[in-house]
Amino acid sequence: MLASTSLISSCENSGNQANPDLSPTGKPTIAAVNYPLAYFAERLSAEFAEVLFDPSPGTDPAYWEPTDNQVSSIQQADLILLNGAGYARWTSSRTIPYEATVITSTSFEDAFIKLQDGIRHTHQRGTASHTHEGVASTTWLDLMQASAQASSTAEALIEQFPEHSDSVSRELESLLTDLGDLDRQMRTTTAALRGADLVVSHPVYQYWTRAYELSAHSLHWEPTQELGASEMSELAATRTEGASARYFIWETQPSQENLDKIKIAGFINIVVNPCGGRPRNGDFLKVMRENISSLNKGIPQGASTGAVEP
Amino acid sequence: MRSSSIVYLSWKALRYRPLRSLLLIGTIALTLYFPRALQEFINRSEEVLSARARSTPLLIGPRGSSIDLTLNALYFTSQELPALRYSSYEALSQKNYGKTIPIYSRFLAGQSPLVGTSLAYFKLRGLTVSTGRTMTRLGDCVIGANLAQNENLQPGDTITSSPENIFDLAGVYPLRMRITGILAPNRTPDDDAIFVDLKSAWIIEGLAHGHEELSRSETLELQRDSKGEFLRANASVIEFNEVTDTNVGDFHFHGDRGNYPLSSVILVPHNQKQRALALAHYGDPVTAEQIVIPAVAVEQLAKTLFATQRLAFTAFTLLGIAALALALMVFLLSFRLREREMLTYSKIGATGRAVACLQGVEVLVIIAAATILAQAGIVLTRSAAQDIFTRLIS
Repeated sequence: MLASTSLISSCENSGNQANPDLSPTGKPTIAAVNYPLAYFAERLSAEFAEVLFDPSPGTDPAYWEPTDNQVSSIQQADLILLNGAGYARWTSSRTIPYEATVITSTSFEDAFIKLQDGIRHTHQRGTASHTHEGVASTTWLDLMQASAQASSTAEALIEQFPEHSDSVSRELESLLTDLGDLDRQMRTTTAALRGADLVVSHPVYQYWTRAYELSAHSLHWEPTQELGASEMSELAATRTEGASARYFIWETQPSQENLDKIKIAGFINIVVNPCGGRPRNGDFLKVMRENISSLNKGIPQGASTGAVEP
Repeated sequence: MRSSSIVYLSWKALRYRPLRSLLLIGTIALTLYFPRALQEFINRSEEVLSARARSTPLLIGPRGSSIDLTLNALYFTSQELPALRYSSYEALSQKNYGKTIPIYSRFLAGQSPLVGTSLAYFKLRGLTVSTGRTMTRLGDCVIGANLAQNENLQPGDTITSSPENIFDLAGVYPLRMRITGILAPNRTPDDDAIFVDLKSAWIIEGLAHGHEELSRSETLELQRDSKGEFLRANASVIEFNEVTDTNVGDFHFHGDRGNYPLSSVILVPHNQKQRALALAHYGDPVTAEQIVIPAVAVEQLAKTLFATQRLAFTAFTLLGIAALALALMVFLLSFRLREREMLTYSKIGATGRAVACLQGVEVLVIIAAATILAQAGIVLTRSAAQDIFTRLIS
């Protein structure tokens, strides 16, 4: 699906018109805006293409700002995979070839979760007022949506490189099986969290909580930030009366000091890494399995109020 | 009388009356030049028009004059038709009819057309960046070779868009754009144009803007309308008129992008089937857009040019006949005035044939000089026709 919608992109039936701009290895290049898409592209096109994903490990691709040289490299790509849902804001302020871009979340854009945290305002008297509202963008944490994005990626690859359609289809089948297994494991694991007092450190889990029928209160904390009295009060205010267990979901491994503070506050620490950026070790599937493992270790302790080391 | 003597005496006679000789040469040269030059200009213009039209397979735009649509897309003439909605472009892109290249050619920077498009445009036209690099972010532009040379512009310099109406004080700010590259010359209107990302053109349109964070209470006033309360940024909120590395993240778009304007979309089908499907789809009068084959539109324009050419050719021919008759009269009068001179030649032994040769050589020298001059003018016209035509039409 070489499609374009809201991000001013377009689709092109590139068909047999593969771009002659090749990587130094002579292979076509596929650029991706986040690691899940880069991983899908790597799995699907390992035989014939190279994947360009510049943000280094530890960088959040959602807020990455490419240099002019990096944009020039991306412009040369045969295919540019966008996440959609407003992810990677740089894509709307940089020049990328519309005809090579694919928004991988188009098939479920009606299911985007709207965020209403902007203020309605106007700039000039007489002009219409507006709100800078957006949608939640960590779409792949719903692993079925991740499967849809993988399928979109495969369709775009087949359209761009029809001569590799067999290998792409074969790899897609394998990838969808892996993602399906993960989804089932995640669903089984998180079943015990339904109705629990769940606090997440960052507002990136909207699709995850919706997909697995959870309810979470979002904070805006960094795993390494110092948690003072105000933060602890904020945390205490999230407590739901009557909840039997309380869990705190971190994006990445927090500092030991923060682990201890959360533990003292009566929460069980769990790490669920969204994996937007390239992990230092392993790949997307490994990180998701680690997330499930972290949940499996933390959830059983919900009956008691003891904390678990993530 | 020897031939060399005849030539010598003729040359002396012509030099003795230089003004008369030059006037005759000029008159005859212009008489020969104009009809041929017009023909050359029209032929070359048609070639230029056709070449650019042929490299633009299909054009989708709002309904209206196909020639206006074609000239706007190919020569960046003023946009006479209403805008095409961006949603139409999106719909076209999803129809799998081929490569789609958006064109938004409405604004100017000085006298130069400012064209919002995608990077695919450069590939379509075979344009390469000779100095610098292509645009990479909002507010970047690449400019044509002529513009760079005439205005002495280099990558790193800036160029500012012109407001459409200088009296619209409340209108959008002109955008100061960063020149990132100079295109190699290709002797088309692209040489005089400024190319920006489509999104940059929308900033100039006022559909996107950047401003400082609306977080300071002193920048906001509480207002109320039918939808409830909202905040109005007061005059202290500065809107950016230039995109920089620092503020690029603050630029944002408002409204439904489906309603954003375009001038037209160049459609490049990859095969005959896609072309036929596109022609069939947009050939339906129910659709809001029209499809134009630029080569056909240009052919219509060329027919108009040919009609003009025929009219002008007839006028020039009649004028030429009159001018030649006048030249003939000048020759005859001149020979009458020189009767005594010719009589002297006869008395000193020149035969009647030699005297006739003497007069004939004078006429031949003048006609030859006029022909050479006219031909030189025609050659110059032929070589300059493309540039002249491009400038005239743009």
